[in-house]
Amino acid sequence: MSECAFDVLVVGGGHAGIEAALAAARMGMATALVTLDSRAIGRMSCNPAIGGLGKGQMVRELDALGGEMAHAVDDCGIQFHMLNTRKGPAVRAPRAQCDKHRYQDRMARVCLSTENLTVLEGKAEELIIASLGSSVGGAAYRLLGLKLADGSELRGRAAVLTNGTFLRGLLHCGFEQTKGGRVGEDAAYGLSPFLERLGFERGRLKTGTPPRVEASTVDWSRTTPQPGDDPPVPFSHSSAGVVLPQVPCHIAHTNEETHAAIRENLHRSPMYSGVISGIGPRYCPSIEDKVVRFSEKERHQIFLEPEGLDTSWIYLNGLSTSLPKDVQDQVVTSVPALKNARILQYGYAVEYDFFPPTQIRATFETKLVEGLYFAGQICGTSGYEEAAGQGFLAGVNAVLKLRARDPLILERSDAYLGVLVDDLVVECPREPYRMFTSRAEYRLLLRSDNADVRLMETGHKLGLIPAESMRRLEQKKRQVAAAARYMETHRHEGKDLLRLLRQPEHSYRDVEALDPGLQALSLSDDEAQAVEVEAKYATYIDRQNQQIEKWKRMERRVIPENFDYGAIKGIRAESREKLGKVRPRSVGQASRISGVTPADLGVLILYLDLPERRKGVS
Amino acid sequence: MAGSNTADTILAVSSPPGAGSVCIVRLSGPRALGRVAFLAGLDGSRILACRGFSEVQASLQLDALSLPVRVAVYRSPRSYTGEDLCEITLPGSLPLVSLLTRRLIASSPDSEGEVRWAGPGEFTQRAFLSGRIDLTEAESVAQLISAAGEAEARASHRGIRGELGARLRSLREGVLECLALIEAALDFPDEDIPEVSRETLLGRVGEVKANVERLEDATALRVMTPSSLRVVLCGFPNAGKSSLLNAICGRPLALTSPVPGTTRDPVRGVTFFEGRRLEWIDLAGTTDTEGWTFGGESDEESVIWSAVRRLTQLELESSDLVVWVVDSTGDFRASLAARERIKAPEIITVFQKADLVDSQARQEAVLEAPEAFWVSARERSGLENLVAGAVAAVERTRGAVARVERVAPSFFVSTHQQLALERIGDALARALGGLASTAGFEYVASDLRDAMAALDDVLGASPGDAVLDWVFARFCIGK
Repeated sequence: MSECAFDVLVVGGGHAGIEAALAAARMGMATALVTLDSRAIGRMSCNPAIGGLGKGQMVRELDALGGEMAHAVDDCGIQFHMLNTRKGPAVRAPRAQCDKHRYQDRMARVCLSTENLTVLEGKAEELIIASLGSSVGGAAYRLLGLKLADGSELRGRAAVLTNGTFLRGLLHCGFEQTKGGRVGEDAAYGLSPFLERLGFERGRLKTGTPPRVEASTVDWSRTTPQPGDDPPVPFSHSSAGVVLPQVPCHIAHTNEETHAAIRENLHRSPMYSGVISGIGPRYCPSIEDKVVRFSEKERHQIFLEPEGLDTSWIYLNGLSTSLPKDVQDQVVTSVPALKNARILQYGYAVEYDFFPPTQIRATFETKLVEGLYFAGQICGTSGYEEAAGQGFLAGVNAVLKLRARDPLILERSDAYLGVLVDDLVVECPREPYRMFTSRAEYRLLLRSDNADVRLMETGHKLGLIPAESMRRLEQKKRQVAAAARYMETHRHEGKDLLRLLRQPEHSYRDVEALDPGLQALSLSDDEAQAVEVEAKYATYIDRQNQQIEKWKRMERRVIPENFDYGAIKGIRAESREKLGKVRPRSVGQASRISGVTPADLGVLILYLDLPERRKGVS
Repeated sequence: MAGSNTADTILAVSSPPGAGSVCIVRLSGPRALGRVAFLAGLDGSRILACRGFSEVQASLQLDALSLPVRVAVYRSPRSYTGEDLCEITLPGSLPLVSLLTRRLIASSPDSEGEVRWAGPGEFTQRAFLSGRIDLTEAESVAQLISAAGEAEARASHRGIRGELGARLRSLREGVLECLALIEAALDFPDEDIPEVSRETLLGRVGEVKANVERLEDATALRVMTPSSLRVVLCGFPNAGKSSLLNAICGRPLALTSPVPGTTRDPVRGVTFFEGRRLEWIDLAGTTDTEGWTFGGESDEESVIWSAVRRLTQLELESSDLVVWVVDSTGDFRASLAARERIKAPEIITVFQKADLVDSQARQEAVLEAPEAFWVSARERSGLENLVAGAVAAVERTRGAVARVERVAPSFFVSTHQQLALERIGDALARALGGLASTAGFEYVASDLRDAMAALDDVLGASPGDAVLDWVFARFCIGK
């Protein structure tokens, strides 16, 4: 039995695990990344795209904090598209199709070459823990390390579990069931029962994938091409630019024949026959779900997404299914463009264990085991971007705790990542949790164009953002301020330029064209957008800032970690139980727990105020 | 978020508005005195100067209205809550209470905290925290708070049921739909969902806004503005002005008697005509014209009469219209001659006691004053013509008169609910403004979210994932 000691152990080499391990290692901690298969590091199990609404903003935020994902997208992206360019300046979001193999290779390379980071192959089966004396609100155990399936032990002061879909993963294709976290891969069957025995509450979720087809067997003439942006706009604030050649995606549609094939075979779907018990996401339904729930729709979109430049695999986005293979053949060939298509990999659904995130703190540390962190799908989320963000924050917080420094907790008003954290710790998601911009109250301020202004300083303090990036940020801030000042004080035909920009029909570039002085500032697109949004929407931004100010007053009313909810009388039993379980950090957070009433909050505040207010009163 | 910051100043209305004859608005906290003093203008310094406990008569300036109230001031620590506390006693009229509470709250939070509605049991909570009430156990106060919370929940549940609840919920559905359409467009740009246009949204949001306004109209009488029409009845003593006023207003407002000079103080009555508010003023039976004597005047009486004349002149100057009342059975020529000396923006003539006059006298009078109206207060004849003629005369010189709706309240709502309705209306108006310009949809959404929050607040609904639920239920999302 071998034994090895690290500071931080990361289990899982997916998008969460990579960010957790890289952050910890880059912050100087001896870090181990434990994965079932080191060749699968950074694998895109689902569609080969990163970004989108809410998600794109999170990747930009992660980049500003010092994460890896945005760099990998810029290096491996083969079709970039900025969403909502015409709909809303504050909800523009980048998305990119990536070359799946290049992405994977690149992430593996970074992990293998990063100082302080050791990549180990193995399967974590159990935790090594020590019992702690029980105290109110305190952990019952402390993490000491991991026991692997081969019997070896890894000692570590902290561990981040990012198991993705691998905890008791079960793949469904028709009634054919295979144990595994991803097609052709193993799963971890020991760890989640172990956690459950310790006292963790467990749940089960489901997600699905569509079939992949061979590019040369697609009749491309019967599809509509969807080119990316020209020129492509990179994700990272410090990107050297997009390097790979750009290729289009294509769109095709299902038809009545497709739908008939699905309806006739619904009884063979594990979803509809009740074989799958896990809850799937409503925003990513299987094609059988779409056909049943929206029977009036004559056709559904299929996006044909290339999985890379050197591969013939085409991902049929929109056709996610767990129907048996012969039905998938019928479904695919019913689409004219796919009449002769050869399926390289059939679609399947995967069921997996997760642990309701109300069991973690806002640092991603579990309440039950000190030093143990959860991140990614294990917390009930879905999506590469959500996973990466959590992995990063968990890794950083593990390090900060080991160094006895203040944790990094982003607020709802700071970042989409802050919204994500708060949503997770307050309420267990009913379905795999995905970010939407509608989840953010302060969406007008959480923009893609200002992610650096919002967060880069924080990343710099963590030691993850180099001085050079900070210099660029300062330069950008100066540029934006200079342009705003210039426009306030300079006129065109009697009207000051700022007034001109506030008129709906003028963009920054329009106004810039009127004035050589402004041209001389030569603002980048990013800077131009920041100036434009802040000028045009000043009143909205002011109102939102006021709302934040008001909201923060409740967030600042901190509830001590060891607060004893059991001692509170006059609060409803249901609320007491929920409060005791969630253990909100503040009165503000308590108010977001469903079922907690204003009267409950009143009582809570009363007890919070007791010690100090009763002082000096006999 | 109720029941929160002890740095805030809290406010509550202690007797239910609407029915009661008086109502008490109570404020406690660091800004209690300051806010009331601010509204009291010149009387404010007396409020701020109070020590211990005192009562002050003050006039509060509420928009164009000057409202006389009694303010009881309890200085910290000698108050129920131990903080500075004010109790404002005012007439129990919903529009007034609503106007007052709105003005008290209308200030953004500053370093001294904001002014807001009190949470359940919050006055008691403060009393306890400051050691003013002697409850030995925090438990008792906690139970008090939660009992107040439940009582409130029951009360608001009662209030929200029935017609008002149904209409508020339908408003929420309307706002939710508009918001969800926008959110779907923003969050799912690639999906095969119908594009929602600005025109469509303008229509839908406009509809909801109109429903909010209808509900506001149905919930309370609007505060009467002093811009209504003032009509002064003038004429020789005993011309029948008081009888005419009573007939027009449909109830005895003025004492009437055949003895000249019965009316000394101006008497007022209010009527409505096709949405216009008319205030009728019956002047004492005199004008500042010379030539009349009143037999047997004592010195005392002459002092009174001179005061009456001063008042009369004031009323005349501020009137929109003078109705010169002529006793058709008396010396109408003398009266018509006196009319010429009246200074007023607009004068119309009315012959009173038409039922008593003989036909020859009437013919002569008609020749003398062909444009005059003929009425009989006793028989209540010719009144409608007179009122219509009065309005027409004013509008001839002054243009159209602002109309005020006189709608009987269909629902009694709390001030809190009324404020919420206003917040919803304001937010929807901003959303419409955004839609009419080229503002991005996310900005329009921020206003709709405000409206939604106000509705959730007043309905006690929790926002949850309402928008996403709506979108997923109706649109096939799933790239």
